[in-house]
Amino acid sequence: MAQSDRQRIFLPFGQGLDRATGVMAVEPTMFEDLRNVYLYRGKAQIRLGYERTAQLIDNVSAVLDQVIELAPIRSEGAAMGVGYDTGSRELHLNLMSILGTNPSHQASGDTNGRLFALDAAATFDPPVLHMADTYNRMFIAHDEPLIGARNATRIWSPAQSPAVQDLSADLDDDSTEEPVKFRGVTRFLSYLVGWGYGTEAEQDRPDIVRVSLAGDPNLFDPRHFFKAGQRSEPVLVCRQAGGAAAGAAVLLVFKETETYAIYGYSPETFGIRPADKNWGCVGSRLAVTVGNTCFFWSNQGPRMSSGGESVDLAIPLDIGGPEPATLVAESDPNEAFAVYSTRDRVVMFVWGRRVYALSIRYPDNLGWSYYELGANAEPYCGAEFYSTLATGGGGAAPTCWPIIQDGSTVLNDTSIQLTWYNAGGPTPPCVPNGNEQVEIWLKDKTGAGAWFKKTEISIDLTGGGPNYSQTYEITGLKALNRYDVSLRYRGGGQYTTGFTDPDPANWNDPACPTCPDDPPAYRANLLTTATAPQVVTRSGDNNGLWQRTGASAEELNIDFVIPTGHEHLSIELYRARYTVGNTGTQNINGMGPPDSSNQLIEAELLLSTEPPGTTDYDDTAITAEQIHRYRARFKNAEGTPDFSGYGSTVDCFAGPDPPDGGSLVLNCNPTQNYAQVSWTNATTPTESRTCPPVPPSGHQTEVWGKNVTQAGSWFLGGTFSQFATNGGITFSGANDGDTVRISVRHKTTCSGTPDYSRWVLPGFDQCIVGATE
Amino acid sequence: MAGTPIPTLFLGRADTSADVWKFGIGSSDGAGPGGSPAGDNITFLSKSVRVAPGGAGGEAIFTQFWIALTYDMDAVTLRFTPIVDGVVYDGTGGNPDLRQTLALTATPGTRKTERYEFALWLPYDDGVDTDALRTDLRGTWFQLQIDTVGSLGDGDLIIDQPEIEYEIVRESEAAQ
Repeated sequence: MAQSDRQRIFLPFGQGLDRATGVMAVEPTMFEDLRNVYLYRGKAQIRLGYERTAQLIDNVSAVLDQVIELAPIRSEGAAMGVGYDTGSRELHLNLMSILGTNPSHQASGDTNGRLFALDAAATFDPPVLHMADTYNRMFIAHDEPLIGARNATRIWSPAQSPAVQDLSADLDDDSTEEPVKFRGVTRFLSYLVGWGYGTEAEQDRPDIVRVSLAGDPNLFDPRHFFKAGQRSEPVLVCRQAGGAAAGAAVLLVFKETETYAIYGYSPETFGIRPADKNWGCVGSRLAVTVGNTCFFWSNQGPRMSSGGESVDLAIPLDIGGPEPATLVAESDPNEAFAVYSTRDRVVMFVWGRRVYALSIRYPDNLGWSYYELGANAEPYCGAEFYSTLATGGGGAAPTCWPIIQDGSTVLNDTSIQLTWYNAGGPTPPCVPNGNEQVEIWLKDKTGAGAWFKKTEISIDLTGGGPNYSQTYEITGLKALNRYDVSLRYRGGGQYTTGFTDPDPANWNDPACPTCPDDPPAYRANLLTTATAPQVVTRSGDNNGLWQRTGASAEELNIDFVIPTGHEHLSIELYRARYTVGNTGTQNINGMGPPDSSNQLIEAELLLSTEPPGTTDYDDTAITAEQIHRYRARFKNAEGTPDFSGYGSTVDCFAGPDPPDGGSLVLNCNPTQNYAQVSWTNATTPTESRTCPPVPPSGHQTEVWGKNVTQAGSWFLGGTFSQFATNGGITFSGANDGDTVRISVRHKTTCSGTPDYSRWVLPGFDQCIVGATE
Repeated sequence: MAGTPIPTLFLGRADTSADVWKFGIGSSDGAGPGGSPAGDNITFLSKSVRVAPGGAGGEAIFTQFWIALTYDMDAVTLRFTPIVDGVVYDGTGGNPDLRQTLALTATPGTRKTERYEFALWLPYDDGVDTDALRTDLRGTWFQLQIDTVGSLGDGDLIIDQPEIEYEIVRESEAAQ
């Protein structure tokens, strides 16, 4: 046969795999095996690879072991990832740029700031998560079949501190919110949808799908839920599908062997109907929606649905038939996931290192191929990060940094009102584009704490002015505490050059990394103020809670009033001693009651330094029948400590309570040298004491007198028994018209030692007596 | 970032360390920044369905094939392996090694399209010379397998339509 009789057969690429059609019927443009290509019409391009952009970290910036889930957060122009430490079983949430760079740990209030710790009884290890971003929050659900091992659904929000908190709802309708444990979450229209959770009382309801309130994904009406099919068969995943017209979109609710569709757009129009009675989705992450079509993996292989019955896509793959020789093995379905690559127009069903890649570049000619991923580069999750230009996340990194205005900063006990210029460094005014977030980092310098991100807020340039000044109050601080505060801008997940390090100590002006600027303009060293501690007597009265504890032992009991936020501070207690009277020395035991002011005996000195948390003090080094004047101040733990001001002084008398001076009545007889006085023993401390007992029990009353006219000395006119409320006194040698004075005091005797109260004078303590006895 | 803001696919690593991978970049899987550590090679493989120009009961000789390649990859080696009636001519199992390789070099960013021609024949071993005589490949079913050898360089490699030249020597019902 001549050369010219030879014919040619063409084998154009682009059609993809066909492993099912018989050899006599198959198109020659199909392939029996096709690996690692992008399909185009008539050609194929070897796929590109993938490179590391970041490693997820825990709270101390240690690299974790696995990436459990990735998701974009479109409102922030950023992305988030969850890493897993296989040893500690802790999961940690990171925020990063849409470029997959600059991971920064996002702390919860739990141990180590972790997202949660995987329960030892968990079915899935590594765990499976679902993340949904909506209304500037990221919802993170733990997809764990065993309800007892399932963690509460968490919310990340840049506006809350700590940034990660539980999703709580009152699903029992008992006016008490409890943490919610969804198996999965997704966003649908303006709602957050969660599935797999009933109520606090009946948690394990795998068939239930709940819908939040419109526009408020944190709030769930307990009546807004759907039951999808039989109760014991769990909902695995929900994904949107259907047309873009109003009300045309549905939420496909996948179980393993059937699919339901939630239709409608409001609580009034919502309903649920069977969408596909024969096919469901075999893995909770094996469904992805592209446009109006949801691609998912059933137990017969891949299918797609636009809201109604699904269409088989699996035939060319010949699932269940002989596989291509040397094709890498599949992973477990629970470790498989579906993602879409917009750039490549490929839906990828990733089963470990084996990927079933469906090219949807030409909707009328879908084509399959395999990807074999690197032997040492097996993925566990994937997501597309959006270049959201509207939030600045897709643009360049911020170029400025804030400048803190120390002079405008207002220091309070437990808060700092911080003011900074947004038109800041490196060369003021460097004006940000207005899409940045201001990250506020804090370090408890006194407490030797590490840097942590206290919160972040949106930049505010609306105030204008030359400097675009902005103010924010940092709350929840400790009083009399030194803090370092640092600010930086975040645009999406990107930071100003020189400010990318997770440790603010390493931030610097890249043009001058070693400038001796301490603190630099974006940092401030601040000291919160403190309210002085108050000393109060334990009994609440000015005589203090005095008690004799032995023949030669007595004490005064005082309390400290510690304002909230000051509990971590030490207390310095100071004391001075005074006599009661005019002589400068002890004036009891015959010298009579006082006629003038107290006299200083011992100058004020530091009596004691009490550790943080102390609320009372028993002063045992006291002197009987003297006034002890106390006051206190706070001291922090700095090497060179800082102090608060002093609190008010309080005087405590070392002796029993006196008679009630206000009730003292003097009744003199002008024709006799005799006077009568009555009193009330009504000073009754609220606290019991061993000795002396609460008056009048055990309290004798002494009545003392003095002839003023004759310049006589004070003398004891009589001692009256307990419970007595009046008594008389005789002024021997008195003449008619002599003026006398009278005073009374209590006397107690404990352990054989007499103790005396303060003197008490009647309101009108002088009167006229006569000479007749 | 200029131009259309196309979303970018990222993957998360399943073991060893919590690596975040950007998909669609580089010529290997799982490389570190700047290529350290190096990633795993990507191996392209295509194996056409069987074609029987003469039909299931017919027979043809397969003489040569052409292929067009568009590429700017700086270094890559393609390998072509004929398979006739299920016999893979790769030098194993006592079969001759009829594989042919093509080393390409280009400048990344500068694409070029070229056409390559390859002859198909069987060497005849007369006991003295292993290539004493050459005959065309002959059989019913023909397949062409193409794969890459070794690592890929930087840049793109696009494989356009291969063409197989044949001549029917005995015909039955024609297949597709």
